[in-house]
Parts: sequence; C-alpha cells; structure tokens
Amino acid sequence: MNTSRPRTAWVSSALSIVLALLVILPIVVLLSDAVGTYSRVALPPSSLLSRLTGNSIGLAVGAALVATLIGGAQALLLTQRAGWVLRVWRVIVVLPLAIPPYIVAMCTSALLRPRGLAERWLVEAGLSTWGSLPFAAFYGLPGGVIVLGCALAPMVYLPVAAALERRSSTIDDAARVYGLGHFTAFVRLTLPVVVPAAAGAAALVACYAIGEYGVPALFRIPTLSTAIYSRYGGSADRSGAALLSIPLIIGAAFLLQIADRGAPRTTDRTPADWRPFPWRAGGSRAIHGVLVMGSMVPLLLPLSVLAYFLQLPDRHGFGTVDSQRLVAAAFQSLGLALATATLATLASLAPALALRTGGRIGRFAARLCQYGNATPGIVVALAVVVATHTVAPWARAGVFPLLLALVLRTLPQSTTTTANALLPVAHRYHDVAQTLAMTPWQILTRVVLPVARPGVIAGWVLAAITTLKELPATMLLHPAGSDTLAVRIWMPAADGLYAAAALPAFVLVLLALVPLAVVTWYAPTTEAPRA
Amino acid sequence: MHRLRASLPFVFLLITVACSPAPRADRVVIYSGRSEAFVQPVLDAFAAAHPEITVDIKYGKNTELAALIAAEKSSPLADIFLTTDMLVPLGAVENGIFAETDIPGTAAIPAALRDSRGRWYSVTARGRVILYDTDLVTAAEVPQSMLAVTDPRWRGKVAFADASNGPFQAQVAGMMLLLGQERTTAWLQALVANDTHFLASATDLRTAVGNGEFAIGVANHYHYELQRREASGNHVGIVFPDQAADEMGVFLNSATVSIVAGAPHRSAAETFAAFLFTPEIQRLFADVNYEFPVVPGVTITSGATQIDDFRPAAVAMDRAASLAPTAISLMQAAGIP
Repeated sequence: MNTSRPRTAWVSSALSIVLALLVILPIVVLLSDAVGTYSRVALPPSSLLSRLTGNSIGLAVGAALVATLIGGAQALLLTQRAGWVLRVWRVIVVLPLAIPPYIVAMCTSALLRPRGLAERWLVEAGLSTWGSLPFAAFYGLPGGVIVLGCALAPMVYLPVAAALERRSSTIDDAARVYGLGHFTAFVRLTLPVVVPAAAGAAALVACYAIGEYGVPALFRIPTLSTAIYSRYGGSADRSGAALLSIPLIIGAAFLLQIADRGAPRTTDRTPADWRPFPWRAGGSRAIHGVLVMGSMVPLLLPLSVLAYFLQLPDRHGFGTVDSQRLVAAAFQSLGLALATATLATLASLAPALALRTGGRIGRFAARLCQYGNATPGIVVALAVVVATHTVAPWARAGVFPLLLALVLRTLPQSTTTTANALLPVAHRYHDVAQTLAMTPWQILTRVVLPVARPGVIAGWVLAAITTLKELPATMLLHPAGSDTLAVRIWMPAADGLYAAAALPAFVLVLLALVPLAVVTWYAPTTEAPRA
Repeated sequence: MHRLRASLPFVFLLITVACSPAPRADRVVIYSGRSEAFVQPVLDAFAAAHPEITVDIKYGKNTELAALIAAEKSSPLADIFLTTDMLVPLGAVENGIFAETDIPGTAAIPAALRDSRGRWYSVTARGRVILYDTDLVTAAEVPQSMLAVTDPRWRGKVAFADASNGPFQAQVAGMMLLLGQERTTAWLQALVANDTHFLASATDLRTAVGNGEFAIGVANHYHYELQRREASGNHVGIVFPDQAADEMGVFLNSATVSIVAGAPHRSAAETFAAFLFTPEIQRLFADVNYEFPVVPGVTITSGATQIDDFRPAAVAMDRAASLAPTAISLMQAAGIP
C-alpha cells in the first residue's frame, strides 16, 4: 500500500462532495419543510404511526427474507457447475429485475384478487363457486411480502453468486486434502462467503421495500411510504409527509450501513484460478428442478397476465392505444434511460473511486451519494424544480429537470455497481502503475477503467433499466406534451383500465428484458477456464 | 470504430435534448389532474375547433401538480390547471398561483361552483353517494344516510377512500360545517371502530363493491355509472343519501379549471378555458364520465342521474376549504390511513 494517496483520489473526493451536496439537497428541503411547519402539524396519532411503522418493518423484513431464501438458494444451486443450460438459468433468474414491481403487483392483483381472473376461471370451469376459496387472503402483508420478495430476489442472487464465484477454489482443494466432508466444508468454507453477501443484499432489499409505494398500495397495506405519498397527494401542505419521511430516511441509512458491511472489500482473485465451485447437495437434481422452475414464476406470471389483457376486446374505447404515441413514448423513455445511465455512470466514477481510494471525508461523501435511495421520488422531483427555477431558470423548460432528477435517483445504484466494478483493481495496480511513472489520468484511463470496464458497462445497463422503470419523478417532470412509457402505463392503470396499460407495459418490459439478458449472459464472473 | 462506440451514449443524450418540445406561439400547456380517458375527447374537439393552437398536456395527481405549479411560480411553464377536486384550487388560491380571469360563458354558473374573482371555475359537478352490492344488500336494507354506515350490522363490510382522497376530505370538512367538529369526530371514530376499510384507489373501491368484497362503499356518483357498465361485477346500486328535510343532503364536489398566474400563453389559455363552457363541450365533458354540467340548461345525454334529481348539501365550499387542513388531521387522528 502506497503511503501517499494518488492525486485521482483527491479529485474524486472533491467531486464526491459536490455530488453528495446535490443528493442531500432534497433531504434538506424535506427537513426544512418539516422543521419550518412543525408547530402547526398534527403528528399522526401514535396508534396510526406504530401501525404504519410496523407494516413498513414487516414488509421490509419479510421481503428481505423471501428474497434471501430464493436468491440465496438460486445462487448456491446455479454456481455449482458450468455449462450452457446453467448459463441460461442464470439469465432467467435475473430477468424479473426487468419488470417494475408496480407491474408485478398490478398483474398479480388482477389474477388473484377475489373475483379476479383465477377465481373466475375456476368458477367458469365448475371447479369452485364464487367466494368459496379464500382469495380474500390475497390482501395484506403476506401477499405483499411474497410478491415483493420474489420480484427482488435477483438483488440477492447477483451479489451472492458473485461472492461464490469470486472465491478461490484452491480453498476447496485444501479442504479436500484435509479430508473435510461436503457438509463441513459447506458450513465452514461456503457459508462464511455467502452470509455477508446475502446479509448486505438483504439490507438493500429491505431498503428498497420500505421506499416502495406500488406494491403496498395495491395490497392495501398502509405503510410509512404509502402514507407519505397519500399526504403529498392529499394536501398542498407537505409538512406531514416530511415528518413521516424522517423515520424512513433513518431506517434507510441504517440499512445501507449493514449493506455496506456485506459489500465485498477487495478481491485477490485472478481469472485463472477460478473454476466452478464444487458444492454438491444430496438429491440436488430434484431441488434444482423445483427451484429453477419456481424461478420462472415471477417472470411468466406478469407476462402471461399482460398477454391476456392484450387480447381482451376493449369495452369502453379507452383502451385504444394510439400506436404513434406509444412509439414516441418508447423512444422518449429509451433516450432518457440511456442519457440518465450515461450521466449517472460518469458521475458515479467519482464516488466509486473515492470509496476505494479516498480519505475519510471522501468516503463519507461517497456514502452520502448512496443515500438518495431513501428519499421519496416526489421529494427529489419538487426539490429539483425549485432548484432549477432558482439557479438556472433558462434550463427550466424541456428535459433538463427530469434528467437531473433521474440522475439523482439512479446515482446511489450506479455508485454501488461502479464501486464493485473497481474491485478487481487492487491497490497493487496503482503501485505498479506509479512505479511506471504514469500520471494519475493515465492510471485512470489505461489501467483502472479498462480493468473495470465489464462491470461499469453492466452497471450502465442496470442504471438504464432502473430509469426505464422509474415512476414518480418521471410522472411529474416529463415535459408537457411528451410521454414516457411509465406515464403511458400509470395513467390507464390508475383508472383501472388494465387493458390499456398492458401494451405499454409489455413494451417497457421487453425494452428492459433484452439488454438485461444480454448483460447477464456475458457477465464477467462466469465461464472461466478450468485450471 | 472504438471512438464511435464510446460516443454513442452522448449521441443519445443529444437526441433526447433535441427532442424536447420547442416553444411555439400558438400553444397551450395544460397540467391535468383529470385523467386522459376523460380529457382526450375534449382535446380532440378543441383540436378540430382551433387547429392553430397546439395543446401540450401533462397528467398527474391534483395536489402533486398544484405543488409543481407552486414550485414553478417564479417562471411558470403551465397555462391551464385542470383538477378533479374543488378543494385543490380553493386551498391554493392564496398562494397567488392562479390568474384572476373573466371567462366568457361562466356567468350563469351557480356562485357556489366558481370563485368570485375568477381564479377557478367548476367545469362539471359530482355527488358523494353510497354504492352497494345488490347481491348482498337489498334496496330496503341499504343505509339512507352517511351517518348510518357506522351501524354495527355493517362491521367490516364498508369501504371508504383513504385520508388522501379529496372528495372524502371535502365531505368531512362539509360535515364539520353542518354537524360541528364533535359529531364529525365521533362519526370518524365510529367508522374506524367498525372495521371500515380505507382504500387507496376509487377504482379499486368500485370494483371491490361491484364484486361483492364489500357490501357498501362510499364514492362519487359516477363510480356507480362506471361500475354498472362493467362486463362483470356490475351488480351495484346507488343511494343519494341524507335526503330527508332534517338531513345533510348530498355533498357536491367538482372538476375545475384555472388559468395559471403569469401563464406564458395567456390568450390561448383563455380560448381553451372558454371552450370548456360552450354547451357542446359542457355536455361532452360531463358525458365521458357521467358527471353534471355546471352551465344551466345543459343536460347530459347518457341517461344517468341529473343534478336536479337530489337535494345537495348546503355547504359554502370556501369555508369548507378553510377547514380542510383540520378535516385531514381529524381523519388521521381517528386512525384513517
């Protein structure tokens, strides 16, 4: 380890501080709202507050558990051998990421709610009568937990699989030499790798779940997050919403700390010493089959329901989709997604480098860049509007405010993916490069970025997909007269016109699915040559 | 080749920026809390009548768009604000975000349905009613008063909107005026104590009542008209409540239009606003959602209830609006999410 920090570290730390200020701007606006109006706000009664908090925690913990069980099991099963079949499955288990949770919730609700499609089919087939099966159990915490947990399972699968594949197989060779059984080797060697990665990922899932609006709203679970949106939607007075956001932000900050502990620090893996990890479970083929088939459900269920809605005749005439408008919206969405992903990825280089090489202040600023996740989207959107109108009124029209809001919403994720992409660039690369008398800029462009490139590109695609799925900021800030797919989906869905929402939803899912499949297929962690 | 590939994202960025709409002279920018299905027919008619004016519209929730207009106050982008809840413009007039106007064709609108200084006008009105599932409840059993839905026989069988719902807030504010705060609070607490369900979406509510998930639901009158026209789950009935002489009457609310203060396209905005009060458009705007036209003499053609068919509650909406923040706190304090 070099004693003097590379100059890039100073630059990246300074840039991180600027970005961190931008990211916390909406939170400051939010808090000043809360403080400024505290005197005239009736705090929600403690009974309601504790119910909301309880539901938020229940949803977050439950979704994290379900996602960890599914994603963790998938990672253990799918990383044990190589081969193209497994490679296909590895793509399939990640694909639910392409479907926004609000579409999953909309489709599940249409299928499983009382008198929904499933009950209707059963009744029409003579297998049941109306109301005799407990479809009403669909609503409430258990349903929400299962749907959200399944939708977010890839968030656990990806880092756990990466952790399993990153570890050197020489450890297992050593274990075999010392005569450890499979079970003992699993408990003593594999679990210590899986647990921190899974715990970190579970914390991220929980963080996402407490901020989620669509799923709890559809499942009729009042949470802190739905209460915040209903207060923003319910009165011009935002102080109540601001107050409710504070526990949300504290919770998220706490969860991100846990996630950070679970995140990989460094790796000494060189590509040549990796090979498929030989973990064998007894009777694994049956488990394998069931689990892997189960992995298709979160993907096929929403897609089938959307397909069903697509072929429905439209009764009210509201569902007639203006194809020209849809194509325009698709291009607008795609353009925004690519622009946001590019800007967010470029911006994330600074905090990511600061996280890896910066000093304490730089690392702290970089952490702040990851906290934007916890701020409700509408808060970010309104803060950006106020800031633009004050600082740069010439940029207030058009796409700029939306782009800025989307970048702020995506930056936390991009910072994480870019920082992970920089992992293989161990400090010794720096030292070697400095010995070769390269300038910091040369180190960055000739050493760091080329090594990190696959991960950065994957992060870029993920950022684009996240932007495609974003709803609250896009809804409020898209320029009047130009639509995005998210808007085209939300508008009819809010009126219950699912048939009209189905086609734009289908297009959005396809736009996200294809690049996600490609990136996962070429993921850098798979298919290294056997030693 | 490598360079080309690396620059692709920037090309997309440029395309995105270039695609954002350029300012035009004959243009009107609308922020609409009323959803597309119920606005697009009017926009189509406007395009036919005024081909020289381009309409650019952004849809969203009433209060979020009001917050956006307030945030843009220093240099407004919107010309017209359409809402589905009278409380929204009433609550925002003091911010100075709406222009004072005198829209042609609005003089005959009842005074309770427009602002005396022309900062907002009702375009169509709707009533707060009781829906019921006709398979579960007979017309004889169904409560005839809002105060009766807290009866223990309906425990767990009633659905309301949640505390974010504008018409529900307006109803509670109106009840505070007519019954006093104490009785209103007691009624709210009785609702919660009776295991009433509070749903986030009005569409969810009417579908749920139509499908027998709840025996009774409180919603706007057009939700009945929409639900009974659904392919399934259409066994719904309607009660215009509190019609006895000593009772409250039906709470009215309305969809409104305002011109934004400092609107960049003021004259086009006035043309659009005036267009909404021509008899054909009044009928069209009401017909698409089975609402009541506000210009006297215009009746809806769809064969639904007319505004003269029931007795409305005698509530001054500006006074109700000033009570709205208290109403919301009462609802939340009672435990309504």
